Amino acid sequence: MDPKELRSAVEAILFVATEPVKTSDLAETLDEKEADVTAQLDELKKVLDENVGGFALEQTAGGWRLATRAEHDSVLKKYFAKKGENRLSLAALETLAITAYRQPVTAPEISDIRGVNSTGVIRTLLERRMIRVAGRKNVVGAPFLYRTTKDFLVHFGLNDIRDLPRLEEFGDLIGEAMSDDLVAAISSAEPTPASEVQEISAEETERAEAEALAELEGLESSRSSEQRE
Amino acid sequence: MTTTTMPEEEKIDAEESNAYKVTVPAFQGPLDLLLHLIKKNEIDIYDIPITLITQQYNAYLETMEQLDLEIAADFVYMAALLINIKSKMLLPRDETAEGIEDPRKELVDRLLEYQRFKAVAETFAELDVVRMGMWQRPPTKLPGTEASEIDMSEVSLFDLIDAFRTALNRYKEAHPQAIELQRTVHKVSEKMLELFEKVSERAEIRLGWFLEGRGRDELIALFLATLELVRLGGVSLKQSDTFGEIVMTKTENQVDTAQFAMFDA
Repeated sequence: MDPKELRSAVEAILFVATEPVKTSDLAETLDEKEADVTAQLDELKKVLDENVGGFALEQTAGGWRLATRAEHDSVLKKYFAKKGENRLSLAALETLAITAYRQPVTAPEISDIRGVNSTGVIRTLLERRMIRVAGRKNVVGAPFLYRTTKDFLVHFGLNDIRDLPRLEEFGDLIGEAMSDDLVAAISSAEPTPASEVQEISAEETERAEAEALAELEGLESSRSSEQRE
Repeated sequence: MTTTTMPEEEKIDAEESNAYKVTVPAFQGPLDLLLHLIKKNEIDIYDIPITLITQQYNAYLETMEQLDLEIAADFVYMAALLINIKSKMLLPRDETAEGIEDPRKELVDRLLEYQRFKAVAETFAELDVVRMGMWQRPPTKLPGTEASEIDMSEVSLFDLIDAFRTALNRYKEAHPQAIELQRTVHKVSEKMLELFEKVSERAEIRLGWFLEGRGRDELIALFLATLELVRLGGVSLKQSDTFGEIVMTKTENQVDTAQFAMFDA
């Protein structure tokens, strides 16, 4: 295929796709070298950016997707009569931040860092598919372990979880003069050792999620008389 | 008002509408409140004057109480922890002895850690706003891919609840302040029969279409009826993709419709 043909074929697939498309999948489908496909993706991105049309090409969650430019949000909302913002609450964002940097992490660990019971927020994030059950921790009570999802990467425009900025890059804090070893201790605090993690397969995820929900609900209702998130 | 630790918004709330029960706490938790106090007093986080902070912290809790705010147990726990630290600070300490830590150290470490994640959350919040504005094509059925050809995956409980929740919300929006004069009682058994007859007659029904225009009570009865029918093995639920439409089909199993009556609690 000549480059122009290849680019238009790639564009066609991306136009119809509803999820980020991997370069390798495009290469396989089109029977072309990955490097050639990547070159055309870059070219397509450049063309779309120069045009400043309704949508742009972006790399996210390990693939490529077409999405509308943010400035058209209000028009789209009006046309599709979308109500409400559906934004994530600050509590949800804090919980998501902890999960992203400390995964796999348990509900008690999250609550501990936040200083408040976080079971309700975890439930919401599970329902919004921003986090998923990744297994159980081999400690007393075998609590569920949570990880961020592909939807999380797409939502925040990350290509890979490793693209998250290092924790110590978040400056402008009180006590900025903290010692280097404390920074190190905070940013690399005890990731759950592999020996304590019991990961589960994709097929088991659904059942585990239902169980996790039931568990969270139990935790919530047993505490709800004294407190609410 | 006995204290000045209240954020602006809440102060207005308190003054203007003491009659309302304010249920949204101004802080994400006790650590958040402590960070606020430290910032406000321009305190060195490594040398927190525990007496002052404890005083201000408790004043805040008192105000919350006066406002009839619900005080989470976590807030009360922190108050106890502060007093514990305060009492330890009063004990004479041998500065030269090794292995004896500042009683505040653990709290300071926790505050610093929480502060990092709070900063991340703020960055996430900014991203959230921008990224929410970028729309992607929603999952759609592709032309030429008939339902039977699609690899139907299992329907999760979430998806089923979502389907009913969507219908419930639609109903709520369409019927703003409905005044119910007469209440129709929807029996689970009737709904089971209705679903079962429809699915027998049409081979498959799309749930979204079937739930359209139903009332709240009826939706709940239908939800229970759907669960019972699936449990009995009379029907199965399929979905082509995540968030896709849920389709109900009849299975080979024979179901005795006479036993439906036993599901009315």
